[in-house]
Amino acid sequence: MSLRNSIHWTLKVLLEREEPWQKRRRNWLASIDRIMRAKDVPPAVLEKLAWARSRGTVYMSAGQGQVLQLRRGRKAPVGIEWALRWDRALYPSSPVWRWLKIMADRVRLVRPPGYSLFRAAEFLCAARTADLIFRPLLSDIEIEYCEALAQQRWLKAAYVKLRGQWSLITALVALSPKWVLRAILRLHA
Amino acid sequence: MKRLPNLSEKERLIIELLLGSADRELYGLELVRASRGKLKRGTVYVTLARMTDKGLVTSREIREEGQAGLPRRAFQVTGVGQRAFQAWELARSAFLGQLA
Repeated sequence: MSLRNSIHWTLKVLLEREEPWQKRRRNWLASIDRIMRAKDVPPAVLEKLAWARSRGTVYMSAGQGQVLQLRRGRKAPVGIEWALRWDRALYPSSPVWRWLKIMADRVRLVRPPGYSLFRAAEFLCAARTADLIFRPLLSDIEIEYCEALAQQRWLKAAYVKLRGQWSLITALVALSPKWVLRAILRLHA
Repeated sequence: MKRLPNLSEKERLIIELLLGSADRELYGLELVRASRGKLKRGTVYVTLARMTDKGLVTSREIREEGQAGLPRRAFQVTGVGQRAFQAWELARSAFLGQLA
């Protein structure tokens, strides 16, 4: 092998070697693609995910009968440009830390804050009550929560989540005479 | 003769805020923020639902262009709500006038 060839191959290997930040970015995009290619995801979710991918920040999705939120780990950068600039320096060298960071930063579909309580309220109350009271409440929590995440204010996001859950409980308690009566009537029917 | 709907303190505040807003249409969260702590997140929608039943306010779902997530619900005062509020204001000023 000539000197020219060996330099060429060394450079090629160096240039094509995947850096940790590149791998992470690739994983991030692949997870979104995986979700987008899944068969049971409703079209509305796919549409929102496409929107989310183009934005590169906080993602929410509402499908038919299910509400989902695509969320990145708390240490993940806001956008891909940010990742290109800073992720390399931030990426830990230790394999354990690297694995933990990958786990923390992986993209996953999660339910929006307060969704379990909303489902409970939907079960206990009438459809109209859920539409008029609980759905807008959940929407407000989502908006506030995602605003906080977009600003990378994690503590505020956690506070919004807790406060939102508390407000859902308060609304449920305020309506308790109605749904308790409804539950009794349902049991007797 | 039909009775005027009774207005609670929170209902009056909500109508006042809705009438005071520029486009006369507000979301629940905006109402909570504008009330400066007088309205709570947990109970504002319960009050608004009661007001809808009384015919004081109407609401519609708004899905903004390019916004993901659940649609938001915006509230607006009806003619009945406006009249009830005006009647209450008149009654209050008459009562305060008698006291003075």
